Amino acid sequence: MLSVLAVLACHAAPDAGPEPVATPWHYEEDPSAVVPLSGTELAGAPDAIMATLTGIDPHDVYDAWTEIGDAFDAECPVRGDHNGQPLFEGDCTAASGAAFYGYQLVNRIFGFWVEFPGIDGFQHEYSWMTGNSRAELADGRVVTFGGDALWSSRQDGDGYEARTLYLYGNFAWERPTEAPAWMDARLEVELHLEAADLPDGTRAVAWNGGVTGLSGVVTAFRMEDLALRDARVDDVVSPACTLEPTGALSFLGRDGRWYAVVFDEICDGCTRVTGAGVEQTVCADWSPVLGWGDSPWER
Amino acid sequence: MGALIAALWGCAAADAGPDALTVFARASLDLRGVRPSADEAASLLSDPASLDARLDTLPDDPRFGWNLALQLAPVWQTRADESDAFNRLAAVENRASFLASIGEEPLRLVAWIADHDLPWTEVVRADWTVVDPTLADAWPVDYPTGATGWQQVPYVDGRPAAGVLATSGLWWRYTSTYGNANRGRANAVSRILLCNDYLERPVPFDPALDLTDEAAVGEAVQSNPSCVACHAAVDPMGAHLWGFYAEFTDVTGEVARYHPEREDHWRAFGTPPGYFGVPADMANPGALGLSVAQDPRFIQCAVRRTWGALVQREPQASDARALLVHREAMLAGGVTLRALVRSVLRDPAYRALDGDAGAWRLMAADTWASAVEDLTGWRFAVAEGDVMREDRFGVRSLAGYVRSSGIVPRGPSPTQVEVHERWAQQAARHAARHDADAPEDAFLLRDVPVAEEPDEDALRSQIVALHLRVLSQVVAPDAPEVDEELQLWRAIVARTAGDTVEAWAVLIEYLLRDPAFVVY
Amino acid sequence: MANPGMSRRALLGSLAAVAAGGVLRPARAAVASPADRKFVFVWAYGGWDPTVALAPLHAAPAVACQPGSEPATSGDHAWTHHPDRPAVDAFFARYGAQAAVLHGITMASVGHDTCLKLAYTGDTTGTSPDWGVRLAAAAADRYALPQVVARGPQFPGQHGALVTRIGTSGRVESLLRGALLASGLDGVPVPSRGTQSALDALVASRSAFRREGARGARQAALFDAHASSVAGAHRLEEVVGDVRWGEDSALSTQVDLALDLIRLDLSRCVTLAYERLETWDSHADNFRKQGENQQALFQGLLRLLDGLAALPGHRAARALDETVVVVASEMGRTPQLNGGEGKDHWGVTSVLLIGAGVRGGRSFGGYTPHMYGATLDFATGEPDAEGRTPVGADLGATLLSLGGLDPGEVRTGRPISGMLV
Repeated sequence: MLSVLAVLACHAAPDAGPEPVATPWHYEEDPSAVVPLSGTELAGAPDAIMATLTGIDPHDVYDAWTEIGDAFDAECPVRGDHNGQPLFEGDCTAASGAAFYGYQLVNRIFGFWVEFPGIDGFQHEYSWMTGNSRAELADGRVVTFGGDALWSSRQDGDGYEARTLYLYGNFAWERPTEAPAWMDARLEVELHLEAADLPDGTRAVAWNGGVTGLSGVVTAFRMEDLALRDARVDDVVSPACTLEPTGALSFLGRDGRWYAVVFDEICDGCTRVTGAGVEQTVCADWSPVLGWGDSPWER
Repeated sequence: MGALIAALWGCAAADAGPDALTVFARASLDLRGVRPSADEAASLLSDPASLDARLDTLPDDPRFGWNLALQLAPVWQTRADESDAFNRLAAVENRASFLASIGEEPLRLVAWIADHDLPWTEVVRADWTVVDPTLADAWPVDYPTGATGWQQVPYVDGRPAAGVLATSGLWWRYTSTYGNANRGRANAVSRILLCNDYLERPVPFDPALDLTDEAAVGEAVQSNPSCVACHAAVDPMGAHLWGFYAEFTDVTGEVARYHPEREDHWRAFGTPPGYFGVPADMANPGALGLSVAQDPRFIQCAVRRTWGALVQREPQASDARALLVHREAMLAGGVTLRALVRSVLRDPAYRALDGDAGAWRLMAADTWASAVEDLTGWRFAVAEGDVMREDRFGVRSLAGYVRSSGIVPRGPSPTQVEVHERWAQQAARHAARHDADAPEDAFLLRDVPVAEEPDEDALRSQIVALHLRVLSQVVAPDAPEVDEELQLWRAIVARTAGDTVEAWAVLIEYLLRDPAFVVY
Repeated sequence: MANPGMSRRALLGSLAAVAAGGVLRPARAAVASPADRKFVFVWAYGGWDPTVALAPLHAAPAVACQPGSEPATSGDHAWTHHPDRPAVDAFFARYGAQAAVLHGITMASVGHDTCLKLAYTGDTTGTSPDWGVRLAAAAADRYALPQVVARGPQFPGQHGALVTRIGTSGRVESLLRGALLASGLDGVPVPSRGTQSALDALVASRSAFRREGARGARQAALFDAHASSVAGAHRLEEVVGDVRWGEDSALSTQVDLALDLIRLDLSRCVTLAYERLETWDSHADNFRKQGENQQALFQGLLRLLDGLAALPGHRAARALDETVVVVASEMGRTPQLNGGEGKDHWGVTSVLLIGAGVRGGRSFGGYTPHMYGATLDFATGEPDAEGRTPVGADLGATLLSLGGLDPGEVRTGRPISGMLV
């Protein structure tokens, strides 16, 4: 018991000693550590965004799925059915040594007719992949499918063609040979595109969503109804302009600051870019966005 | 600073050998996960006045950071990996290990700060995280080629620097629905880092409010006095965290990555980003982290959390002076966890042994595993993984006291007793066999030839030494415990036709199952 | 100081008394107090269609009910009868008087996980403890395995150490039989049973010895807990062979486990699940999938209730009189069929409560013509235009009331006291 008393006698007097005084707490960081984008960097932003938008081809996602298919077999991944759609799933290794983790729904339908009330029917093709899977092949190819990839085209009898892209998630394709740049870069994509070819040969495109995970001056961007059109395609659009879109576009600079691109009603491609306390006029030609071949993602 | 702290306490180091050893063992288990070595115990007994100096060395131990993080784990509540709160469909090679690593990421960052003596502000300002190869497979990080284990790495998806607030692990653990608008996450930040838990506040719900009416709720959180009291603080903090909003919670990459393009989703809810009334010019976790780092409560809370974890109780009003002393020590020591912990280790509340204030605690499952491994060289490993790291084996929760998701320990449980029994059987036999085969490198049986029957004095001497090493207890050679264990040893030898190795194994097992081993 | 040793005979004698229940088991009352009630949760994860069994909404033009099904009634109960689902009819005939159905409970989401959290924890954080573990935590000292999850969801919150997941790996049985942590040490014989029995007895006496020499209240409390845990561990070892731990995930297997845990008074809360996500989540072919599932679910339910009715209770005459059975799904299905004869996610559903403390023989709440949740007066359980639609947190507050806890623990919910006896 003596030892116990000794310890307590030594330490049981928290009120003893000088009264402590609280030192004020300050935490500051050097604001100059963040350098806003330069004028040259700002001027290059629209072209960087356009290059990204036109470089994303959803076929690459399906091509990746097709390419790795030979490495798998009936045992791995297990093929099942989810409400009528082919479902592949498993945490497994195929005889080839290829490993598959997660699940994947893959559905491609071509050339079917859909009946809608009041419309005679139009031809519809679509591809839809959704899931959360990762395939690792013995030769080093690795494919990651995370999210939804849906693209479709439809034609009515009058020559109207509409195309839709809905790409949401992250899709990566690593392989010894060259992979599509956008999948090799492991971008995070959230894109919704509506594009139309009209019987008179004019076309229009509208984007929503954005892309992140970019390297360079622009590290991410987002769009709200970013539309470009070379003709009036419905009743609500602004006058046709192929040089400068309408809608909202903003981007995240490598400085961690968001910048807004403010489009005006003058069809000259020149816009104001504002953010991080700077404002600058930037000019760019947006017409290449409309220059697609068979579809906006095939150039 | 040490002299100042000692002066503030108005006392010097303990001078009672056994009690000094008990206090040191407590700190050693808390901060290194092991009991004191035989040499350390002997030194302390011969020089009890060296207790303070020895305690001061514990934060320099390489095991310090992780063990401190484990002590703080109940606050962070990120380690319960077998829970439906987590993604059921992780597309990774080893899902169980992946889920365990997710829960560890925030704690590994804390441990890294502690081990590298970095300012605590790094926890919300660092432009790096700490991941293992399992996480590196799924996280957008730049993990060094060929490296192993937990490494300090940068995220490469453009997320702002915000320490733990920018880790995918924390926000995978703390999810948010769109409608909740990150409020739960904001409260987690407030609870963990500011010691301000809005969910603990009494909420006088307006009975006229229909909680199923989304529009009415949206209006109420901005105008109803019952709601505004909390939402005025929580909602602006939550507005900083939309970059971690996951549209699809069953897609690995969706949850793993930062989404800067979603940072302005707060506009849909009308409450702009801010921090306790101060508007922010950016809506991202970096801005939130800076605000947290500048908040005086941030440091006070670090002191409070660390003190609570080590003393094993929530601080009371009467502890205010002690907390202030520790805060000053932390600031004077470069705002580091080492400085803070060294101060707390001198607190009488931490060292208390007797009466109602006795700060006795129950050994957690992680500590049990590491302490037994240190004593016997034995750790359960199965081909599928570490049974004490991943909940899927069930051992960790059966072991009775998981420090994953709650500071309130359940007392010993029947299943914990069972786990300890099975574990101790194996560990004890491993140690006895090892010590018989390699006496020059013995774990525990250093004073007797294990394969032979020594004389009684040697037997008693070895048993005394076992008490010191396994239980950190001083017993006399003729103490009743020693008498009993001597009888047990002899009974086993008689029963096994002279198998002294088995007799030692049984004795070691018995000591590992002694309640004094797990209550420290 | 007491002798640390204790005679083995004396020790075994005391253990035998514990095992026989003669020391700890109180006299049986006719009605168990709320604090004594046990709970069995049966989850149908994936989203059931209430119209297939519990909610005969055939009169609502906006709601699609299965062709060939029809409303059936008995007393104040109404359910959906279908010739392929005799178990549903049998359930209401046999246990309708003890059963209450709560209709129109609303989860403000159409996501499985979010609805599950709302239904089982009252919020969407995933870190709040579920109703089962809250109930288990309130009586943790009385049960060796306070909450057992055979299958199904768990949100342990801060009570992770109270939850034992059985799954199909048999880990608890393996642990108790000495197999779980027995691998890895090649060539080392397992200690003889005699040696282990002797050692167990010594550990128990050492525990008492430590208690006697405890330094202060906190250490004494921990040693006390350890001593009772040692006794509890012996109890578990003794009954390990009396529990059907199960080796598959069939609902009948889970039911047998639950009955054994209740019979042996080992757990306060047991969670079971009839988990068939592919079929409960019936985006296609709704009525066939839901119909087959409901028949199987109610077969399992009958097995559980028949078992509880046949078991003597520990604090009431029958186990059924001291047990609350909760049967729930995290969501319902849309009122109308989609193009694939399926029904999609719908955040409004029905919940079934049976047993001790439940005002049985009728349903509470209801649906609007478009299958939204109707409002009710919580005090009476009667429809009330001025009342409120029940949400997941209200279910929780109700269950906590049934279990003798303060329903105020659930801040966003209120007990539907009209459902309680």
